[in-house]
Amino acid sequence: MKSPATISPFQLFFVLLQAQIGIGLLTIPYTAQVGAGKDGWISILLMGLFVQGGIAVAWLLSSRFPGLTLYEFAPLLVGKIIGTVLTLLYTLFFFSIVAHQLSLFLSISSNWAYPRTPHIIYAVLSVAVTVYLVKENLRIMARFLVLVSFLLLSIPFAILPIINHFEIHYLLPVASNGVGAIMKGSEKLVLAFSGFELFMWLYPFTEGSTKAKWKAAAGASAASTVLYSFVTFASYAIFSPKEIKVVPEPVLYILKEVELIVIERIDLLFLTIWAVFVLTTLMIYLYMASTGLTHLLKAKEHRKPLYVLAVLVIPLAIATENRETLAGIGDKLNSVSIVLLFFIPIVLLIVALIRKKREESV
Amino acid sequence: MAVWRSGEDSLFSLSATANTKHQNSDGGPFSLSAAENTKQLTALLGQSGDLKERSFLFKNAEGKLLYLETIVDSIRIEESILRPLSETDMQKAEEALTVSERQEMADSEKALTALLQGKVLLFFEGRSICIACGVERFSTRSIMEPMNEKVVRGAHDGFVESLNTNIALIRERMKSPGLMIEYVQLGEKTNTRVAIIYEKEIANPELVEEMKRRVNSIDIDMMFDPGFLEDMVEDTTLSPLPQVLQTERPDRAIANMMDGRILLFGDGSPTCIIMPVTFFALYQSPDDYNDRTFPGSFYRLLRFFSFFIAILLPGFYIAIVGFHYEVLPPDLILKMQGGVQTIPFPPIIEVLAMEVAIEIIREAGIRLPTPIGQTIGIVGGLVIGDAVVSAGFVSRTTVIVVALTAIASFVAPSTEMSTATRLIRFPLMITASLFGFYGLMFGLMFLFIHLCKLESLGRPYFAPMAPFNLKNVLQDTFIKQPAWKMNTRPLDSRPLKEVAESDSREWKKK
Repeated sequence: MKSPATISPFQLFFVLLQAQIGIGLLTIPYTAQVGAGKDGWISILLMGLFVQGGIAVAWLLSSRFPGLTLYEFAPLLVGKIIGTVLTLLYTLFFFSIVAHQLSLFLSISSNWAYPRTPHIIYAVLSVAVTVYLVKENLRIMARFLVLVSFLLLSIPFAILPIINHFEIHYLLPVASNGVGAIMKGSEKLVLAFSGFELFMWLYPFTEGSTKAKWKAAAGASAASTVLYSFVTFASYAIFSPKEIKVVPEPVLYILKEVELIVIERIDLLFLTIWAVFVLTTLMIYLYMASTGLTHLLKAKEHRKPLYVLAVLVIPLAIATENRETLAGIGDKLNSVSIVLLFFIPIVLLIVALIRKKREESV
Repeated sequence: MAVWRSGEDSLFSLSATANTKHQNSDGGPFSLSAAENTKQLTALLGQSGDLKERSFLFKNAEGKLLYLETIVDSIRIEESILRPLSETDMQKAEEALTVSERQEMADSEKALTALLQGKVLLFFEGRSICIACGVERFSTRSIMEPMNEKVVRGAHDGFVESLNTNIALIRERMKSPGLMIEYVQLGEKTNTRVAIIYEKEIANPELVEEMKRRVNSIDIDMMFDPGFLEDMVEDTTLSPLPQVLQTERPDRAIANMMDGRILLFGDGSPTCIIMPVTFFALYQSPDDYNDRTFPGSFYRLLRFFSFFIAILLPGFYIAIVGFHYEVLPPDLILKMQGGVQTIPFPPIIEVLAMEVAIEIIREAGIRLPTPIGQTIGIVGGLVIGDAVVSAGFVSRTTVIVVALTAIASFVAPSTEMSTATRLIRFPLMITASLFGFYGLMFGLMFLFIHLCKLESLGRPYFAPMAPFNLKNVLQDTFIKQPAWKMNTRPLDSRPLKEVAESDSREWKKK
């Protein structure tokens, strides 16, 4: 399903960045401490390294098939049936990420600021604004995603006023929880870093040299790694290891205490900005899911599949408002994402290397 | 419809248009008798009261003169047609005539169109043609500075209702051989001349072609207001934002043309339509370029700030009062509380009522003579504003917010943009009253996605922010660099020639 609209490596950078930064911006300090305790920020850096490996695999794979997305080159490598199964798997995965992120978004929003608005209203609004953008082509999406990336600048500005409240001794001695704990912490973070795999779909639509594309993808992941670990570092430096265990969104709690001269509750503004990042993630994944469905149905355009998925995602997202249930679903998705984000691309790459397949040879 | 180029005998090559019209009347080639020919044309015009016929003698043969007395210059008829014909020694009438513009016509339909444009038709006994002479009289007002686009410094002239004068204003400023002027005749009944003007060496030919395609597909009875033309050629008419720039200032029109944009003029209107434009071009004022860099940039930034105030402030206020009063510092809450608490209405009703009141005052004052308009402003603004607070219907803060918003909405240097900002704030107020900050966020996301989708003549409307181009952003978007740093034209109109300036300050290096 190749649409003629292409994007530049510069736009690819921001598309991937916006795909990665979403719910995680608020929840990652909590997720990381579950396994690694106060060394969670090292787990994030470590995960960033793994992701760079994942990007390298994706890049090697895609540069062998420069004109094809994973949906198109997988059948060439592993046969039509397994290829279709893979397409189905990825489409389902993207779709469930949309549903999961949306329901997390709804539950955090209602917990934090909007307890009396029914979930379905924000679900419908979110899906409406998402569809409004996603029904356009990739280029227009990229334009918008670059535009909203200016909001990322607000994150350092929000954290800056609290630097003098940092209690660095909460973090010392560094890495004292041991390598095992740090690795365990990383394992939980795959879902937060998901987004880099989209490189394998966006590659053929990006202009420029293969190296420029790799730089954009690697740069996007590096940027989100730095941002995530910065936010996590700041959270752990404010909350003691014991406190952080009971604070699911530490960033908001920190910002609640910050006062600027005219604004008392920065957290409410930050929550609004964070909502934009969640919505951009939803946009990209819903686009991916709808192109996947388009591919499966051999449809001409992604609009009709998009509308179907958009309608389906609302009941799924509001099905459960329970935080524990959602966390359980998140854990399962996390395990699945290890397979889909790392394992399958590696297998595909090995097959490609063994069978010496390239786009020109088929 | 016929499109033809300037420099040729443009006004006379109307055949294609004329052939499609007057199909019911019995036009056709002329006969040898002058009297019969004039009778034929008179019949076609239905004995119009201002149609005059005059006989004359040329070399002892009778001739006839036919014209519409309301749109021709009678002195010029006498001086350059009648007198030369009676005094000449030449054998052929064509050689005797001293009008600069004349053409032979053998067809009554062509002749009729020429007659309606203010030509004088000459018939000679024994010749089956007529000679059309251009002695039109143009009624124009004097050139004045446009009322709604005043500048502090810089040129103070403005376009008028006559297309020829407007083109003259452009030609006077731009003596480039690349200046292309193409005419199109539009309007089934009004037969309005529309000019497409561009700089051949800069404007992208694809855009020019697209513009011609759009203009040529117009099929309408009348065409004399720029609004008609805008609606016909604009990319998305169902958008709150204007995708064309309308200006009455020659300097603004030319500056945009030099960026590779295309100008559209309609005869009978002083407004020039410019396409493709960007959102940011609508925020550029000729004043910026006459200012020094720092003030120029400051005032431009101020305009964008005002854009956000104009669309967001009432919504923001409603969201804070209705949902998130804890965002404000305690001292401020105490100050506001007293006023807000006693108001019998929810904030949305309060603000909405005041916003609508201001719009009513504006609309009421706009067409009234200045003294009455001022009175309305005082009665509306001061009396109502003060009385409504004393009566306890509306809080003081609301009045401040509404007043600030109203002033900010008039800052945009383009009337259409200022109207657009005033409209956009209403949906944002409603979403804010329903969903607080999230409502504003959703509303703004819809707005910015819409901005990213919008195109003007097929070019991205929100350039250079989306798609992002750092060089253009820093050059002339939010800030205005000194003229010697504006080396390249903005890329949004894909100009053929990118370089606009180079090394103008080379003297400094020596």
